[in-house]
Amino acid sequence: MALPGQAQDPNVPSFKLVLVGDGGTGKTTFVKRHLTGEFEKKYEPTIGVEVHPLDFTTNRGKIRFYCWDTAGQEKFGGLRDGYYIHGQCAIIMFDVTSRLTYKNVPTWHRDLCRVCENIPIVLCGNKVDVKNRQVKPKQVTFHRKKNLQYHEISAKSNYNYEKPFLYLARKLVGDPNLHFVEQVALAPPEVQIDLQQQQEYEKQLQEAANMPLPDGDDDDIAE
Amino acid sequence: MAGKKAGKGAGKKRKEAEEEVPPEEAAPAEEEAAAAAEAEPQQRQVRRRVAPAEREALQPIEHASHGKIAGEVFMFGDGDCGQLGMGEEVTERLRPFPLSIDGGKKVLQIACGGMHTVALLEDGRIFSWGVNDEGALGRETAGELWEKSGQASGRPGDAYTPGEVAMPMEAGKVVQLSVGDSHTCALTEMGAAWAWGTYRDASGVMGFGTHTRIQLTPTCVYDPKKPDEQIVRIASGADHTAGVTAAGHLLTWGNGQQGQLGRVGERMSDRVKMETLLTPHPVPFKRVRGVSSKIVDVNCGTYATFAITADGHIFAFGLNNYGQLALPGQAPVYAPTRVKAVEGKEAALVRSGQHHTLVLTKQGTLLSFGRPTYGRLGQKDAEVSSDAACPEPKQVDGLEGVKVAGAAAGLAVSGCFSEEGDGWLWGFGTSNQLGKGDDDEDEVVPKKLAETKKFAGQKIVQLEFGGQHATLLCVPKA
Repeated sequence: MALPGQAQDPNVPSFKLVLVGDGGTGKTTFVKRHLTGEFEKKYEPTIGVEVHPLDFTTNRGKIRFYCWDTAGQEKFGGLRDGYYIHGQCAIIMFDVTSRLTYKNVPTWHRDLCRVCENIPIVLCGNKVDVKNRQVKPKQVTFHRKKNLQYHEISAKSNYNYEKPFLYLARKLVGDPNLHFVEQVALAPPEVQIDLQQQQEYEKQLQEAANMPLPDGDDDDIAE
Repeated sequence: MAGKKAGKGAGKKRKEAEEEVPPEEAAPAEEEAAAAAEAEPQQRQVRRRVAPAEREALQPIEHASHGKIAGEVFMFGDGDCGQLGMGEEVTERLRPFPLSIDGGKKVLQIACGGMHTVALLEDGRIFSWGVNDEGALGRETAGELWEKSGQASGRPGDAYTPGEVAMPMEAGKVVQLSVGDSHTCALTEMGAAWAWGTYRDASGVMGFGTHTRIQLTPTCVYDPKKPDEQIVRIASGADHTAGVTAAGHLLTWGNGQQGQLGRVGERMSDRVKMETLLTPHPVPFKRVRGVSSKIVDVNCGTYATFAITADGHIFAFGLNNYGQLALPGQAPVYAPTRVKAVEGKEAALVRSGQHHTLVLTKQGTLLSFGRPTYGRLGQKDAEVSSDAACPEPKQVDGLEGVKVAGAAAGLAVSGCFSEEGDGWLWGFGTSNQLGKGDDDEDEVVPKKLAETKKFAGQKIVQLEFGGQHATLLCVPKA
């Protein structure tokens, strides 16, 4: 959903993407990496939102996400339903270096599901460029319980930048084989990621995904 | 919003918050302290040492809110990040489960932060567990925070199980704890406040003190010189702390962006000096005819503060976007405002979450107001799937015949316990904070907490909610 004054091409399938997460998790940094989106963004002061049109070119043609960034409104603890209405897909972001920002993930998720019902959602753990973080892959279980996609990203290094969009595009288009055919113009990386270490984390993530979730309750009701 | 007013406010940048509300009601002593702090911001950070002779004049403080019953701790809810204190492998407890602290020591008070918990033991020691990414545990654990600090001993403790917080000898006995998302505060029996961790605002980490981003171990943040200045009661919201002094003044510090400091206006909250925000300063109260201006108790919601006067009136400030202050309008309230909607109801206790508030009356009935979503208000007719604001206090349903003795409000959950020590929980079920086993559905009206083999014959004396977990303090039923 574009804002008034934002050019729309009726031939390009476009989707409203709601970006949520605590303050300081890097949402704005993330969305600003996409250079054409940054150039064409529009601010809507009445609801305090900045809408970035983010274009990607797939093997099936162009696709556009109107990415709604909340411009600091999350300081009110959650967003009013007006942000979510007509949302077609979402990214929930937290900061892997500050697990406090993981606290609100369940409520962000419920708010999204309540207003937007059954839309594809990606949980993103940002700032994986920071070494020796305390969040261990097997600890992030929320997405597994709720069947969300999880990606570790680093907005500042562009690591995995396209992954959440690719997942959402595949779900929205209904083609699991869809892929991006052109590099998106991104702002140059500000930090470098330790790829070897990150590959180790990704491997652990894979292993964790194959492990069973904690099973129910072993503590019987007394009666 | 701030941009529009920039022209008007820019020149006043350094004149600070006291401008927003008439300061004449502030006690002279505290005014002096605030003025001195302004004049010498560097020295304010350095702990003021009180000469022994002066110190002797101070007597140990007392307050009804201090934990007096020693019990056992039970944990439940989600604990992906070690909030349950039962080791790295225990990521959830679907029903209350006992947590042994230091080999089964008795606990006087528990306090839950967003992702951590602290316990005050009967012997006066403090134990902490959970997330330590921003120093909230006050002790050395594995991870970059400590390793990079230059203070690491190389023998980190386990964040996933309760570990002792080393309080300096000079602090003396601790009588109360309050915790927020990333900070912990300890009140000593001499009325001083010690704290650690950090405060966050809408942009992330804001800082602990003027020159400290994250405080790793306990440090003194308030040291009274006179009996009147002693803090008798502390409380914390997500990112602010409040203290009531013996003289009946309210001090606040931390993040003020949502109005929760009661002394920093909207224009100011983003630009006043950090020092003004992060060190205890008195909240000016306008005198109201027929209402005592002496504050005797305080409680905090996530982004709100409720002060109770000696004659039982409630003043509130902070986030009110869902009517969680029971005040009209949905804009943040930046100065203490009398909550007339609960007057005449004899409020004994206020507990507030993120978007809702519970008020317990002296008769043992429970009222709720704020955001109804997910059932947190416990009102059977509330519109739990709407985005409504319900500022009018109404009685919580499903507690007929129950004399409520205590209550707690979390992010989107609520709970209470009776004089007999039975528990009821309601609201957001997703994080298993309702203790219902495999069932994580929301509850619109209070649901009685079931006993289990591990949780049987227990009388609940305290209930607290973290961001995704819950804690009970219990003694055996007589």
